[in-house]
Amino acid sequence: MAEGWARHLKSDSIQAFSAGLEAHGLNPNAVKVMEESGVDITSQKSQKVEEVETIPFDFVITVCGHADEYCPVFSCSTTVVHIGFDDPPKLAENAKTEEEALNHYRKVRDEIRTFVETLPEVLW
Amino acid sequence: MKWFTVKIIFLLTVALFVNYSLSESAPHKTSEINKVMASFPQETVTRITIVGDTGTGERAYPPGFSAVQKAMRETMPDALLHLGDFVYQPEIFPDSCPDRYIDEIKKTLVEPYPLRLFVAGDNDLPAHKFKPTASGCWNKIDPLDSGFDNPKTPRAFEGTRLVGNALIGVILSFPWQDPTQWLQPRILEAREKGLWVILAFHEPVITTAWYLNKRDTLLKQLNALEPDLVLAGHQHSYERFHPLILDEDNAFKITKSETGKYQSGDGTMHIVSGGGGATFKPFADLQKNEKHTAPKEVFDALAKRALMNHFITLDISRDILKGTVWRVCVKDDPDDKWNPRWKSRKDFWNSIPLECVGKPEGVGIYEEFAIKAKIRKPDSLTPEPPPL
Repeated sequence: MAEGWARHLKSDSIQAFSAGLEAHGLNPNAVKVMEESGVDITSQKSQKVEEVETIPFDFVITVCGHADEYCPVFSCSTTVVHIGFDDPPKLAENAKTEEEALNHYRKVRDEIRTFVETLPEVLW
Repeated sequence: MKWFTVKIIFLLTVALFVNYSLSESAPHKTSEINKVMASFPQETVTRITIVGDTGTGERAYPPGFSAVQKAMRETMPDALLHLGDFVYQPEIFPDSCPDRYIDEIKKTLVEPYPLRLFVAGDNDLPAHKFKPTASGCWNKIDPLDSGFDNPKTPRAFEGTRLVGNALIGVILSFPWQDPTQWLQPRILEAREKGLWVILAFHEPVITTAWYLNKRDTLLKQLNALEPDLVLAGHQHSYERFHPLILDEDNAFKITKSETGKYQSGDGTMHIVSGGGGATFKPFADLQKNEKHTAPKEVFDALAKRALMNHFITLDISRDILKGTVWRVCVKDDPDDKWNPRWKSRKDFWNSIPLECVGKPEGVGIYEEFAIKAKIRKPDSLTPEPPPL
C-alpha cells in the first residue's frame, strides 16, 4: 500500500519500491481498499529483498509495526527510517466479518497515505 | 518526471519470526541483510529473561529449576539469554548426551521463547581431565538457540545478535580468547546507532563467590570495550557490582548507588547470575577460604549478592536498561529428598544463610536496577508517526 500511495501521489519526486523477506503475492484486501481510494496496485508485485538489493536506495523505510517482529534491515549505509504502521492482516485476524476486516485495512491505508504525503521532505 | 527523484524502498515485515524461531534452529542465511527486532533506537521495549546454571540433571536442584523456569515464562519475555550450564549429570566421561536432558531443555528453555541466545558452560562442553563430569551435550543444545546475526567470528559459539535496542555479544569462556578484534567494530557500530551493549559468557571475570584475579587480563579486555552490562553465570549465586571503570593503573573507579540507578558512562556493570537450578555453594569468604576470597576493593564494588534461585528480566528501551531480579523460593519441605545446598550433609554448609530461608514459597522481586542513557543521538532521522 505504501508503494502504491507513493507511486500515486509522489511519482514526480519518488521512485518507490517495496519488498519483504518473503514474497507472498498481493494481499487481495489491500488491493480492494486501495482500489476504493482510486489507486490500482495490481501491477505491483510482491518481491523479496534480495531482488532489489543492488538498487542504490536513498532511503529505506521499514514499515513493520510490532516490536516482537523482525524488520529486515539493509546492512549498507543507506539511511534507514522506521515507521511503525500496524500490520493489517494481524489486525484483521479476529474480524468476524469481511467488512470488519476491510475496515482495519482502510485505517492503515489512510495512515500510510498521511505519511506518504509528507515524503520526501520529512526524510531530510 | 523531475530531473531528480528519490529512490525509496518500503520494507515490509513478514511473519517469519514466529515460524523460524520455534524450529530446531534459526536460519543463518543473513548474507546481505541483518534481521533485527529494531533497526535503531525506537520507542519499543524488549524484555529479555536471563538465567544461568539451570542444570537439568541429577546433580542439580530440580525443585529450584522447576520453579524458576515456570516463573520465567510467566514474565512473557521476548527472548531468553541463557548463561550456560544446562546439564549436570553424575557420570564421569559420559559417552553420549542422554536425550532425556535435551527433551527437558526443549520443553522448558526452548519452546516458550521465540528468540533464544545460549552461552556454552563448562558442564555443557565435552568432558576432560579437569572437568570429568561435563556432559558433552553442547552439540545438541547449541542448535536449539536462534543463532547470531553475524556468525563470522574467529571461533565457534561466539557472535552477536541485535535484540531490540541492544547488541548482545556472546563470548566463549573455555578457553578464553581476547574478543577485542572481532567484537570491538561491532560495538562501535552499535554505539553509532545508539544501541545498548550487553556481553554474556559463562565464567565471570569478577566475583566474590570464588575469586580468581582476572583484573589484568579478562576484566581489562572487557572493560576496554565499554559495554553497559556484562553477564556471567558459573557461580551459583546472584552478584551485582556497581558500574566500574578500570583506570590506567587497573584501579577501580566505582560509581555507587544505593537505589540501583545509574547513568550510561558510569562504567560497566558486571552481574553474576547462576541461580537457575543448581545447588548453592557458600561464598569463599563465608568458607574462610582466604585464597579465593575477593580483595577489599572488589567487595567495595559489590552492590548486592545472595545465594538463591533466581532469574533476571531486562527491559530494554532506547533510554533505559531496566533490570528486575526475581527471587524464586521453593517450598521448604522437610521430606523433600532434594536439598538446595551443595554438600548439604555437612553441618557447616547448613549454617550458611540462603536468601529464601524464612521466606514464603513464591516469586518476588529481590532487587531492581537501571541504567539511564545519558546522551542519545538526535532523532532527526525518525519522523513523528502520522496522527491516528
